[in-house]
Amino acid sequence: MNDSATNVLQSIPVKYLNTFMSDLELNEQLFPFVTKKYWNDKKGNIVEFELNISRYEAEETYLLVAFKQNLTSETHPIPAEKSDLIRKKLGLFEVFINQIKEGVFVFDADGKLVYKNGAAEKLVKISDADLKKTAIWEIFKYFQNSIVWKETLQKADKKKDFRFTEKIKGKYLMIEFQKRNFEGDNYYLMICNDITEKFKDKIAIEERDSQIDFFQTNFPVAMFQFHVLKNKVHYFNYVSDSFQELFGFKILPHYKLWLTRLNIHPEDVSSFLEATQQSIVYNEKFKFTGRMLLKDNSVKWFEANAVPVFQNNKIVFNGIIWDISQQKIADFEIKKRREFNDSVLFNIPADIAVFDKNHNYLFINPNGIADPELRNWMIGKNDFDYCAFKGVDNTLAIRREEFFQEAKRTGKQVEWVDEVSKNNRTYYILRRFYPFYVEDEFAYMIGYGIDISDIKNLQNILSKTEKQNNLIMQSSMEGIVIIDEDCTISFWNTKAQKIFGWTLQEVIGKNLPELILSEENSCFEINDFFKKIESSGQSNTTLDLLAIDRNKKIFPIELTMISVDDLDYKSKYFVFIRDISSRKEKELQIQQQNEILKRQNTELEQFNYIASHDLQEPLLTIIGYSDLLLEEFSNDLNEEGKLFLDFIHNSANRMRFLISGLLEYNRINKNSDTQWLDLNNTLSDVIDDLSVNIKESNALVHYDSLPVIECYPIFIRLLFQNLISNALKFRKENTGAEVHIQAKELKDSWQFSVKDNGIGIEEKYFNQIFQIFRRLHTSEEYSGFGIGLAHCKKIVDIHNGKIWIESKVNEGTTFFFTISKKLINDN
Amino acid sequence: MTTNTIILIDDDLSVNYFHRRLITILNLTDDIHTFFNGKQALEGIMTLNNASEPGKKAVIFLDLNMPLVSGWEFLEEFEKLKHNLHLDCNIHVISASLNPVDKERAEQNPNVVSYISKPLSKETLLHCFNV
Repeated sequence: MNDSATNVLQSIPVKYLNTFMSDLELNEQLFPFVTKKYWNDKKGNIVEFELNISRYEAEETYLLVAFKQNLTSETHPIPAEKSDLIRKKLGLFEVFINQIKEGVFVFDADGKLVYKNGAAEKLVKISDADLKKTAIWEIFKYFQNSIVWKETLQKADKKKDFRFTEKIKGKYLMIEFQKRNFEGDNYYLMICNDITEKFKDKIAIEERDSQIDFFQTNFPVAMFQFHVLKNKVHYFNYVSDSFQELFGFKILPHYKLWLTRLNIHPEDVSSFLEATQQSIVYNEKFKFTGRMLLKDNSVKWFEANAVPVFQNNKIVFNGIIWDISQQKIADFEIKKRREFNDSVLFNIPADIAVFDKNHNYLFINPNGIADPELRNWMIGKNDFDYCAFKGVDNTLAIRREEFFQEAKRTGKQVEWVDEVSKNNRTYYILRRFYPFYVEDEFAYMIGYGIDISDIKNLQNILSKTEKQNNLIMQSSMEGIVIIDEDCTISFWNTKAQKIFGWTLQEVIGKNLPELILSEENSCFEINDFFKKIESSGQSNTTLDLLAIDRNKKIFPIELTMISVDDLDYKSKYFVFIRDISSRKEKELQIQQQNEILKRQNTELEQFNYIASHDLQEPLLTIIGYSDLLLEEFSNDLNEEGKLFLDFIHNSANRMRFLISGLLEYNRINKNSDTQWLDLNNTLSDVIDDLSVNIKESNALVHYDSLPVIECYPIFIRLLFQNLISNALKFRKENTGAEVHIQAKELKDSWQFSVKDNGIGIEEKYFNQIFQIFRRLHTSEEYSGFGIGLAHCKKIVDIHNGKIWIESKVNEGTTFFFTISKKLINDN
Repeated sequence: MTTNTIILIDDDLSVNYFHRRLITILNLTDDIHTFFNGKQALEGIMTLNNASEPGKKAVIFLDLNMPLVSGWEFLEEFEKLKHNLHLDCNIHVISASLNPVDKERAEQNPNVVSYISKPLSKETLLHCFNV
């Protein structure tokens, strides 16, 4: 018997109940069944019982009787207004009901509100006027509408009471639904308990739980609880699962050797133990950052935080641990980059400064200001402050401010060069302001300064050299033009201006060959000339060309081109031009004179030949008649007459020889062809021809093996004949003549020598002996006409050789001569 | 007249004979010496100088084109030794050369009295002695 049953039985005597049971014809009944019984209570009211009886079998058979006493078991209708009726019935109790904190609503079967207590009124703010008008579903969303209400009523007939929760005006209400019968009508009682506070706690806990879940699943964090007992024994009481996910291993709860599981990096072990010890001994907050060695020997950075809480006889550290490896790596990268940037900024041989929008220093590197104190002092200050500090005027600051404003205004880099005198030397500092924009807005200015003194000084030297070069070029006696690969003129010196009449301004950018070359060069494709130079890579080419000047005057020039493409990796040519009009004229004159000489020579040869011939005839007449006179009239002449006739005869004959000698001399020339001649044969022939002479003079002629040479054979034979007979003629008295002939090969020629043991020649005559008609002896001593050696000289001449002698008086003479291997035929 | 000495220097025997004949015909002197080249002549003049009394006049007819020692070479040597001579020498250059260069060169020589083209004629000979 439950509490509710006990309550019911307080108003119904048990014996009466027993009569109920005995009245039941249980055997005929189908379980479960519902039946109603009535009882008149002491006040005369009929109390209705509803009995719900079911059979339940477990070893024995039980009957389960659920009975309910219907309060309003009035059988007759309530004549008065229901709510008034209720109020009336409540009487004094209403005061009490109005005082309770539970809100009480009463609705009729149609769902109309018939009663509400004070708390209920507070809940829904319904006035008395609204009674009977307000429907239950307008207050409690649970019932939604009249249909749901009716359905609920049908259900409520079976299970009378139930609970539901509802949120009304920010309050969570637990509502108890009860059905009551009052004077024959059914009334429905709603008792509302405000459970907002309780509910809030629950929600907060739920939210916290979900947050922790969220945290655990979304952040690489593990939670732990670490217990330190009074005896300082310590262990992990709890480690969340995410620990394994993070670090790849588990730490078991209550495992006392947890430290060996947690493999701290050797370098961090001591600091970790220290931190742990500190927290355990002094119950302090624990915070540690370090490295863990994992099974695969990889290293993980972690951070752990824990807060101690006292609990009974132990300290509980609740904490979290998380993986900060990524962050550490990132930190490391940042640190590295920062170090790199710092090392660059601090070591770069340039002044670097960063300014804010107002030209105040944000950063200065040590190259900018070496003194660290001053450097720090300057931060947030400007150049005017600096000038004031240094005690110098503001010129520099003003100047820089202008550049700053310019860079700021234009948004473009500004560049200038500062000239600074220091230690008797001028330094040049190239400075730049570079405005830096963040999202299109001027954020700060980067200042940059670099010492370019060396470059500048070099430039000065270069420009000096350039000036000198320019001076040289401008004062050069030659026209100097610089052109590029396309023959476009980029430079043109004053001499070039003098030669052609065009000024530098007029010719710059023009095509050189088109400008200065006469069309008379057409046979020569001038462009090909330039192409040829380029392709052959010749560095120096000279040409004689015809040029045309501004006044259309055509004149000859000599043009030299020098490729200078190694100067700045761009092909360039220096063109040197010389007006060779006067030289050409001279050359022409010489050429003309040469032609005159040649003509004269020819004429002279002709003259000699003709004269000699013409002279022969009257001479032959003299000889003829003088001979005749001597033969026919010698008896008529005295001795002196005969002598005169003899003089005439001899003179005429001598003249004949002289003339024929002259003719012979003329005949020695290159008019015939050269041939290859074996000199051994030639010598043999010559000796044959001179055999009578050789015998008479008791002479010996020796010759070594002689070469085969290219020559004019007749003249070479005459040459040897003359020299040998000369040697025989000028022999010493009473001594047999000895002649030696030798040959020696030189690079370009053959050298021959004809040596005798004769009377020799005084040195002063060495040159004269080769002149025609030159004789050193009277005809009484040695016969001859002074022709032989002149012939020899001429023969050697036409063989492009030389003839000379070595001699000592009374010892002998050696004639040397050379015959060239390369004979040049004038014709 | 007999005080004059005439020296003929020429390599041509016939020329010397002809000149001697002309002098004989004109009866200019008996004292005639002939030499065939400059070398002979120089030696001969030295001998004559030593044999004759000082101030004696000598007329020399000198050919230019001669073997061994030419007329020009003779003149060079004469220049060197004339200070040792007490013989009064008048040199006339006679040459067959028509080359004006030879004439000019001879006339410029201070020791040469005149330049005469070959052959000598009676008129030129007389002229030489009248001067």
